[in-house]
Amino acid sequence: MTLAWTPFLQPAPGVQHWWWMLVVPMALGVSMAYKAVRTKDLADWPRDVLRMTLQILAAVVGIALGLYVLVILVLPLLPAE
Amino acid sequence: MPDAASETSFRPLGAILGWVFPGLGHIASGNAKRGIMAMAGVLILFFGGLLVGGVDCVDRTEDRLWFFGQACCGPIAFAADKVNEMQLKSGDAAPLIETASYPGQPKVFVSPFKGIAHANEFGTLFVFLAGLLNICVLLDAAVRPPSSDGRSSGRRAVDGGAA
Repeated sequence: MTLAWTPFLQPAPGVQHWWWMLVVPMALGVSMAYKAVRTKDLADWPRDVLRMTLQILAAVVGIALGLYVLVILVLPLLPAE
Repeated sequence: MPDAASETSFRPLGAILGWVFPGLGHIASGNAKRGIMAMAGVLILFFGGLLVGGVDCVDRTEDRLWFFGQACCGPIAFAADKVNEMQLKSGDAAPLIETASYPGQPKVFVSPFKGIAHANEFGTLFVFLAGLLNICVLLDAAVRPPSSDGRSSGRRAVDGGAA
């Protein structure tokens, strides 16, 4: 139970359990800053940010699935010696 | 109409202002909306990192290599390091506790607020990414023509309107 938490001084409680969710704000922040520089027409910025965020998340999920297949399914098929 | 050479000239003041505060280089050169958008992205990463890992994730002495990237956020990174030093490392925020040390070595005391494992890793990474992206932002501020958002080659320019 969280009795007291001082934001910015103490680490956020519960991060050990949901750390993998942090990829979402990370992808969003990276996309916001990068697209602010790269987008020509600023009216397209929200759409470009959303698209890049989803692309990053899709890439991360794809890498996770690929590693799962490799480590859990493929590698055990190899001979032990 | 300015020629292409003057439009792509490098203006150090834009880069310096962009380092002083993320997005300030764009705002000072008349591209305020773009500067605010860049500022929002960099600051979400910076303060998101501090929220996740606490100020301990910005440490000039213990995480020096990470700090090289984090320092690209500008004075706010140095301020976070100073708060870490004054509040956590000094024991002001919470009394320091002794940790294990090698036999014969001096005792080591750390703050109980020190971040460990995923919290510290992600906090450090967030602030580091904020610094790296701010390099892109401040370099863009240095080469982007002043007040150029309204005369971009996008739809608004085609429509004949200004932003």
